[in-house]
Amino acid sequence: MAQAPKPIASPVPEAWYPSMAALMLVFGLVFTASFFIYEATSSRKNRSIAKELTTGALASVFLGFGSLFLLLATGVYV
Amino acid sequence: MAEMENAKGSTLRYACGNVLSFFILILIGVLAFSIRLFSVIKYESVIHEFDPYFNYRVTQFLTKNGIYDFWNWFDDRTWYPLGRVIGGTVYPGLTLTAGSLWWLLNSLNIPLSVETVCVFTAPIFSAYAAWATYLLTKEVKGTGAGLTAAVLLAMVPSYISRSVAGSYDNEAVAIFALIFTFYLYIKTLNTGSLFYATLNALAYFYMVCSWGGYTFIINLIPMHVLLCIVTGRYSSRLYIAYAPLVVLGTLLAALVPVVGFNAVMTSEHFASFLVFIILHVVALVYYIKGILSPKMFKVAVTLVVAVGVVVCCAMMAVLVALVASSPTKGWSGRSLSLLDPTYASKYIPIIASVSEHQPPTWPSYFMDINVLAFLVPAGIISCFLPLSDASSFVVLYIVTSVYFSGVMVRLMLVLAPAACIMSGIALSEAFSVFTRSIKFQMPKLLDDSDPVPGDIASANSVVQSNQAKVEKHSAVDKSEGTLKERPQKKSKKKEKEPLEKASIKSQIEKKLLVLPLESSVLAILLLVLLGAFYVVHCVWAAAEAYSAPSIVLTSHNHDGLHVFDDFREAYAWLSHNTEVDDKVASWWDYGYQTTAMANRTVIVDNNTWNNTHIATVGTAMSSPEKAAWEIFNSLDVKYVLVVFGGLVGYPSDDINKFLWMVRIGGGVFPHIKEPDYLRDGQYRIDSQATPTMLNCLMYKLSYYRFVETDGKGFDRVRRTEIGKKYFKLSHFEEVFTTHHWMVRIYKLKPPKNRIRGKTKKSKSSPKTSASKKDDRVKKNPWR
Amino acid sequence: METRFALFFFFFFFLLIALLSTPVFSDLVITKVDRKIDLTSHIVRISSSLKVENAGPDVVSQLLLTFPEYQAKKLAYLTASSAEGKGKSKGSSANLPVEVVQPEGVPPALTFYSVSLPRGLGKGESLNLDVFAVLTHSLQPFPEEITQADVQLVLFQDSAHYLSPYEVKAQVLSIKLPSPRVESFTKIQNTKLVDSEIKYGPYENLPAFSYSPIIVHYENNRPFAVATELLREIEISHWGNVQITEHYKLEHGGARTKGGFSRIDYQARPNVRGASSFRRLIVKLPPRAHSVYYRDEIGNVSTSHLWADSRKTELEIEPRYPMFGGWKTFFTVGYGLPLHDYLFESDGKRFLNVSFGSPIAEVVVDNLLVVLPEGSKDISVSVPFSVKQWEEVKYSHLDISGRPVVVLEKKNAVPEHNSHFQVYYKFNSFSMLREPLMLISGFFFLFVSCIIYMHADLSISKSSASYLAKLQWYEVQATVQKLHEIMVRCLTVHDKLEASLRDLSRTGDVQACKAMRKAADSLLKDLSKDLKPLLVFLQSSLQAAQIYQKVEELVVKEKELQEKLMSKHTMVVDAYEKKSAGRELENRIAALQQKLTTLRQEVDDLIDVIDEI
Repeated sequence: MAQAPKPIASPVPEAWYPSMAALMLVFGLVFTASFFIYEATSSRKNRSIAKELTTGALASVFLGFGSLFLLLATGVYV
Repeated sequence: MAEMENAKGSTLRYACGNVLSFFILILIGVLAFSIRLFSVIKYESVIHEFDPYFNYRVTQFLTKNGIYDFWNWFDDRTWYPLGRVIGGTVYPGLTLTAGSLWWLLNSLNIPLSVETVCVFTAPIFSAYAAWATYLLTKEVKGTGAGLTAAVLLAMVPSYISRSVAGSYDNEAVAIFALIFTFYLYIKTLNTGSLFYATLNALAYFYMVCSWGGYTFIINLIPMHVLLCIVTGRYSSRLYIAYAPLVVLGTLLAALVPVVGFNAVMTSEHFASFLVFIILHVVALVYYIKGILSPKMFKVAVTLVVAVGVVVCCAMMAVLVALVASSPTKGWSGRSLSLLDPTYASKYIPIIASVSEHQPPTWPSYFMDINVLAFLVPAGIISCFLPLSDASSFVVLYIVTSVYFSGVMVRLMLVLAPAACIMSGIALSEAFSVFTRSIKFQMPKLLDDSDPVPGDIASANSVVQSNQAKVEKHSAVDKSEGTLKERPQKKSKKKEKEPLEKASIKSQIEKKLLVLPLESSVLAILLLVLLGAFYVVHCVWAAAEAYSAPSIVLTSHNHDGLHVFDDFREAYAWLSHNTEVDDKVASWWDYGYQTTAMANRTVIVDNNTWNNTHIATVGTAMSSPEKAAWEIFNSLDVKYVLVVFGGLVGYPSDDINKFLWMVRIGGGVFPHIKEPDYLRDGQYRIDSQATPTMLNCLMYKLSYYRFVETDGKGFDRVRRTEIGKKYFKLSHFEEVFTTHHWMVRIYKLKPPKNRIRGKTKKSKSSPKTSASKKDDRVKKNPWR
Repeated sequence: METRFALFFFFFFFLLIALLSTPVFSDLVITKVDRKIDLTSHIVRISSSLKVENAGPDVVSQLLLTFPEYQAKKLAYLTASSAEGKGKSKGSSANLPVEVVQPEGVPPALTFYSVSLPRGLGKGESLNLDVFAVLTHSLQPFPEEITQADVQLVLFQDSAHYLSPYEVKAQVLSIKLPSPRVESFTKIQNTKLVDSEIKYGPYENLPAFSYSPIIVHYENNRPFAVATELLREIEISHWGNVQITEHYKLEHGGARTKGGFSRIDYQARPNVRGASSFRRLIVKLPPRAHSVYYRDEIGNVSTSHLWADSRKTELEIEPRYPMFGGWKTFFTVGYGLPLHDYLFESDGKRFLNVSFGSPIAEVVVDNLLVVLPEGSKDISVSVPFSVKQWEEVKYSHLDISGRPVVVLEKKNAVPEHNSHFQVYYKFNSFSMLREPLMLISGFFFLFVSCIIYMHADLSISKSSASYLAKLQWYEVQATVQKLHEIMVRCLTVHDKLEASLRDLSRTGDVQACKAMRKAADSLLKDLSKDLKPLLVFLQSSLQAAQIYQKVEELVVKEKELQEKLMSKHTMVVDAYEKKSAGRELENRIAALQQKLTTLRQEVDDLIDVIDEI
């Protein structure tokens, strides 16, 4: 054993998981909503793909991390 | 500025409304799923009751051995020595669904066990069912009614009772399939699209795969088609909706092994073919009417009628001959007992002995559909304003399902979606009327107080603030998050719907429908209260009434929760401490559980396909010890399992079911006579009981050494002291009794202990032993 | 059974003869042996302290320990430690290397273990040595089948003399029993039973390989819990958890039960009528264990209790039924442990440090899996004893490439094997993001497919009438949308004008109002210019025939509204400039205002109608 092994802990304190999950999911859902509203309001002619993709990407990042933290908070340690 | 925002908002309103209803639908799905999790939270994630265990076992087999082995599966662990062809006698829909769900999850590297997937299949599908209800009701009466109906269905107790987490039964997916098939039918009827007609046939196929209740669909839809034709609503859309369904649907249904040729040979399906012919005749008539002049048409009519009558007569003759040639007139026992409620109790005790085949009582209506029962009439009325093809269908649906639910308590399940749709329509219409009148009176009120002139658009915001107020009112009960949404979406809808059809003149029309402000506010409050009551009832039903898995029992006493886990104790003991090939005899109720949990071969199980076999077990249970031993030994039985509730007061034990064993046994073997077990027509086990009763195997196995527990032998279920207290078993030996005595397992004593001195002989010459066995077999009552 | 005893003796007699003829291995002499055999549980623990002296001329660095074959087969654990120095405290740390050797010319009925001494023993030097051996399955139930009511009697056999290839000068043996109830024991000279302890010896000056078989037949009702198979799975998640899952196949290894099991007897007097059975086991979990569960293949086992404090977590589990001899059961215990207690980092490598054996005290055949997170590399294991070891891959939640698994297999493990072992591996912290990335890409895929669906043209026939009509309809929709936008902007301009009028009445700033008017005029002009091509298109389009009426009406109404508003504006501004606030003017403005209001409402309604299209 080497000198002074350092304990490793999770990068995010475990107590934060539930609130992180809620926060991220709310953000994610807001972005999802705006994505779908944009999809529904804009007609095929004047739709910009960049805007769709950015909203979708933002939404998926937030939803992804949100669901990860949700899993962690519920005890499914991936 | 507010104006501008409003104007701009109106462009977004439609999209927002759609996205909002999308989110509401997701929330409804979450609600439907999570309200069914009480059983997991209060108890554990485990398969419930009896039939689900069989389905679970089949799913395990499917996931382990693949689909081909599943179709060809001959199960030798049940109905010993007959076995059962599982692949050809189950409705495979549920198993295939859960199996493919499991396969999908595992191929995505989400390692869930088969059990977990099975436990949560029912809640997942009830979310789907709620969405299907939304779609169906939306086709009938628009989005608002759809959302309301979906919320109602998500938590209707009747459906919860069959789809709590762990209740892994056919009905769980079948209700979804039923509603979805109806939706696609209505959708086809509304659009006349062949695409939806094909989907409809596929959905019907899924329904046939899932549940025997598919006959309801294949009779209801023809009825509706007939109704449409009779009321002069024939259209090409109706033809497209129906003809492909019958052709494709019947072909697909015949692919399901358990249905097979029944799809064309049994009377349940004849109605659809008859209507199919009628539809074609009508279509032909309409076509000819279109191409001929009125005069020519009259001539043609007389001609066709003459020929048609002849053809019809011929067809009828063939039909009648077909029907008459089959013993049950072409109807299966369960269908017959639907048409004639007294049929089962007269002829088939095995159907009558199941409690869910009894007619329901009035309280069970209130328990299962609660306030919906009162809202249904209102829904029917609003379906007639105006009557469309779609709304006539739902009216027909509710009427027939009310009848069926009156025959069999189990079919309450079919009534529930219809009741939800009707109540959804009623509630949504009521809300629409009330909020509309509030909306049109609010500006006037504000005008009086507000000096700023002419801001019509402000009415909009006022309505919104008013909505908020209504919402606040509705938030009386904190637990009902969903209820809060309901007025919201209703009013959202209200803003939209009138405008949709809108024109300026419609506003005038609307003004005519305006109710007094105070009364409409009051009415909304009352409706919200009604909804709150419904929600409270549903949550209670989900949490208390329907969440028990029935293999684990709990009771509350002064020192907290007490768990009775005796069934699993016994099954675990059987599975670990007996030989793999040992046969276990018990009454058929416990067959599925024994094969699934203990993995031991059983003689009879809950699939009651062979009445004689069940009667044999019933006879053995009601015979004296020696005769029973012989019957069991001839069946190769090694262990006998009885369920006994006398010590802890568990009422549905074998002693209480015993009369059915006698009845079913006596139905096949006449030497078992029910009156022998009754004293003056009364079933009793105390000192007044008949000697036949006190000497039968069931009595002995249940009460063996029972008296030693309290010195008196007081049975807490029957609330009496038992009749015969001290006795010995000569042919059976107690090998295991669970902690609360709820399951007792006995072993058949080997014959060599009984026949002294002959053992050597029989061992040395197998021939003699075989012949002896033959003798024994001959003595069997069922030979 | 008697014949079997006779056979034993016969066999050992032969053995003795054989042994006496074997050569003397070295000149070591054991001057003192103190053996203690602990028979209180079903695991036999023999601890002997030896004093070795070199009587020969050569330096000796190896010491041989001897076990008869029947014991060697069941030997689970063997350590030798030199108790050099004074205190006993040093003992455990100075474990000496032990290995199996098979010297020439010895019968196969003996197994030799060679201990490397810490230093060579010169002539006349001596050394104290503690040897600790653990035997499993060496208590033989006799009778082999008992009823529920019987107590369990077991046999244990050993030699009263210390079996050694060296001469033994002085020795004592004491056997500790769980209770004073002894059925029988072999009596040779200097044997006495005191309380629950049998003492043999002291014996002096016995030659090498002296063997004197003894048999103790006594009552032992301790739980004979044997895990015929134990699978421990340790799964590390760097998100803060070490998940341990233990699958037990448990058996009662004592005398088999004959006859049935009677619950009434058991319930009435569980200690008498079920003496040989056991009901509960204590699982000593590490501190801060959380999410503990206890289940079997048919669900949760509801009979368990959990106590936890800061130093330990204790789980009392009860199998579904009391375990009688020969009965089997299966269950799973799982729990999570906080990551930072068990995972460490040093020299750029991470390592897991957990205990090897089962937390339940019994004999086990052990199969241990360590599942490392996805992306671990360079795995190495350090275990204080020999194990079979290989690697596998396991797919778990949200994996793509799978997680590396180290499998360690150890037969016949006893609680003494419960020492810590380490698994070293390299891990890049960014690999932790694999799972969230999976989730994110899943969601993103959803959005992208949605976008594709919205953009794709899914119709089969591109030339059909309905398809063309649909395309046209889209165009009409887009036009109407634009038109709607323009109208809304017009109305905004109107609102601005109204606002400027209000400002005027408040501040009296005529110039600002005029500037406003100018700006509004030009804006409205632009808008009406924009409006024209749209109207032309709508007029030409067949699809828009219905809509066009409404649109036309709207445009006309808007124009009217605009004019009225302008005239009102002019009037008010004029009035301000001339400072004439006549009643007549006010009346006219009021009349205009009324018209404006109605017009405005109509326009709003029409806009709404168009908006719905």
